Amino acid sequence: MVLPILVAAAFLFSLTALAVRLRPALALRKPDFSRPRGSAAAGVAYAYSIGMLPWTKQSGREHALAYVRGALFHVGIFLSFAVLALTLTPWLAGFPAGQRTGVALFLAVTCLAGLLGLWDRFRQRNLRALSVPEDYTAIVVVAAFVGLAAAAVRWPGLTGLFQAWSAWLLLYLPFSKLRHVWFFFFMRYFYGSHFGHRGVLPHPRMLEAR
Amino acid sequence: MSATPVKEAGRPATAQRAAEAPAKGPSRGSASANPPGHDRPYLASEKDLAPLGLHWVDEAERPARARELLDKMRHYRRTFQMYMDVCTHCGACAQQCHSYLGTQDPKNMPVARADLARRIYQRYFTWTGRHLPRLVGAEDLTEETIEAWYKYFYQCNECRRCAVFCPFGIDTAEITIAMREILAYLGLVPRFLTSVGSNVLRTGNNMGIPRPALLDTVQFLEEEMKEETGKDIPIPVDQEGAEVLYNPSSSDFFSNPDTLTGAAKMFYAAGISWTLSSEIIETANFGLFFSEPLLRAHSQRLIRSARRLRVQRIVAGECGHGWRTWRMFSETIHGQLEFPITHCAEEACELLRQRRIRVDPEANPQRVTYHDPCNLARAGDIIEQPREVLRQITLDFREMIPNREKSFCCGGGSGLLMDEMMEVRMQLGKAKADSVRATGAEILCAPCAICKAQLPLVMEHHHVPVQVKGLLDLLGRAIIL
Amino acid sequence: MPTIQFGDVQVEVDEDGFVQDPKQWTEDLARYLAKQEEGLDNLTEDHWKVIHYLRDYYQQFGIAPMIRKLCKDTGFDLKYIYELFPSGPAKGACKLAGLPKPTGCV
Ligand code: SF4
Ligand code: SF4
Repeated sequence: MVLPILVAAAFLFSLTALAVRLRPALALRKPDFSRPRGSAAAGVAYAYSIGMLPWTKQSGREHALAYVRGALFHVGIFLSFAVLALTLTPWLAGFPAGQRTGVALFLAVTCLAGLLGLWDRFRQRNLRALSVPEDYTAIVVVAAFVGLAAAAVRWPGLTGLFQAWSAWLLLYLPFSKLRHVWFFFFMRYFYGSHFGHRGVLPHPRMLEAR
Repeated sequence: MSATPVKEAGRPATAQRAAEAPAKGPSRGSASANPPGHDRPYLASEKDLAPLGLHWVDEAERPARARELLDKMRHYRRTFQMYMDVCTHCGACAQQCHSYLGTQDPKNMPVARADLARRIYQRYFTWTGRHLPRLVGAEDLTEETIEAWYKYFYQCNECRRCAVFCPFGIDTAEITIAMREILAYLGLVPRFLTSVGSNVLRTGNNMGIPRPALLDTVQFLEEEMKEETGKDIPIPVDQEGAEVLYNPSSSDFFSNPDTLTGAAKMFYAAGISWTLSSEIIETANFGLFFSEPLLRAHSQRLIRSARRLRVQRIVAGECGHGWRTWRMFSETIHGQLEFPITHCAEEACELLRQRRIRVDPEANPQRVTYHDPCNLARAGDIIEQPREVLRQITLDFREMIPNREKSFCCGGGSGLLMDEMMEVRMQLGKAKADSVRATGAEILCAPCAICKAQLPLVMEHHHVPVQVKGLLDLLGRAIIL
Repeated sequence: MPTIQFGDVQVEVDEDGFVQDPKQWTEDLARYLAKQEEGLDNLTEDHWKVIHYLRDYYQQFGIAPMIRKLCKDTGFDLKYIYELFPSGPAKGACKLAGLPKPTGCV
């Protein structure tokens, strides 16, 4: 019983700390009185949809691989959070073993995708040059979280370990670059509304594939 | 006759120190500390800074002052604070920056450039940076930091291409703008920018053209057009009650006259009354590149002129960042305006659509390609209009790749036109040169004064046989009068 | 500011070798700058025509003339001006004529 409470407390702490961190920035809103050139709303819609597709972001095969790897890892992370929520309920045990194994395998793959990112960071000159220690530790902490989620799904006996690690992750999150999980949605919103207002994105031409 | 160059005389102590140890700390605009072809712009002197209300900060006080300014900045601009907090070092921006691609200097990756500020921000303004600096790469602010700021924030063209590719939309150009502002308050500004700034405050244009010279040039161009077309095509100056206040780039009066005569022909053919204002013949607002107060002063001049001349709209000439400034900042600075601000490319496009001007594409038979100036394509919705015009006034128009919001910068953006930076400028222009070469074009249309100053040099340097022209230059040739 | 010792006067120039005070200009200074900055051993009549034209215009209007006007009024095309002054009309000819460096988007 202690662990679920710890996880909930860590979650609340995380959320509060992130809100505190974000608040001054949000309060800094400066009005933009310029007449719009395009639509801010369309820009936001674009930023959350087409704007995230690989071909609007990346170019070249190497980048496409990196994109798939990164996207997979992030899907795994969100799934792991769902698993975490489920472990706090009695329902997880109710899933048939076959489904659980499937999910566990998928999570294991995404965990691997995350670790490959770590490998990339070591291997690529560019990435190595711009990395700070935290860039490595963050991946390790999160990949372990996904890995433990996989394990907990497959072997319910490991749930306690998974929850403990999750609590630690949630406590660590606001102090690390992992805060982007929360900031991301705001950033996409600002990005979309800014470029939308200025009539840069979305552009009619962008809807045509190149 | 004998003449011998002698050493510096009567420079302040800080400058002396900088000259003796050129590797340490930004130097103070002395020839000996600034060998030609180096990687950062000459610094303005105290005298150059004065008209802009800026001053040197003594070397010993700089780091502390810089920290204060950084603190102010994070409380002033939301984007700045969020960009500092959110980057994950994913590296997606690295290969998208022509500055990094051209110089191959890892510090020119957008993320690394931003990190020059971010590491300091972390160190002083975040819990983790204060207590576990090593973990997040947080660093103390020293004189070396400031030196790196001056170097690398003046190797960024503020083109915001990185913003298009970053998963978070982090616009490193915004960070560069903020950091150059901080550098300005430390008294560290390229001399080229202060010379332009003081010209604007004195004469209302970047070149420093006084009214009599303006009138003389206008008369010369009217005569030229008469010779060329046989028609009396006016270039009115200070004409109250005209429909349009046309705000060109002052370089149109020095090196790009065809852009101005193109505009004159367009208004003449469409029967639109227009005027220049001798108070301001400058779209390029260099305040955006280092000083918000200058940006505002420049903007005030334009709006004041338009009101005095009682025009119905302002048409911005061929300039990228100027358009962004006029169109996107004016109403935030002055409140709602009683007249719209439009761009000459959309004027031309609209006039063609309404058939108020007619054109003959045979006048431009060469293969033409179009360069999207960063601030038109990524900051101001001038994307399709110039293309629509070009398709009608040329016979062989080719798109270059990448284009539109993914276009590469010419390498001169954000005022990096100083001669001493020539080597770097040519590296910054490499990505563009490659895209132009692939089109096989004979004419490169670039409707921006900075691009027009930078691109001919870049193309020659990288052996791309192409002529650089403005949009109105080509329109002026094709227009039927 | 760097200076050059020229005869018994000190002439202040900027980093690019542009004379700071146009009043200090003399024909001898132009000859000196021609050699030092443009690598020209002697100045021909055509050089002087351009230089004097620039100086006269500057004295009247306080700025360098439009390049096209310079070409038209001297009767030299741009290519020939580049032959005369390898760094071109703005950075070469204006410098020898003791004009301030043209600045802005040029
Ligand atoms: S704004 Fe342009 S030059 Fe500056 S970092 Fe971004 S891509 Fe590079
Ligand atoms: S793409 Fe964005 S998040 Fe990634 S390293 Fe560059 S600035 Fe940072």
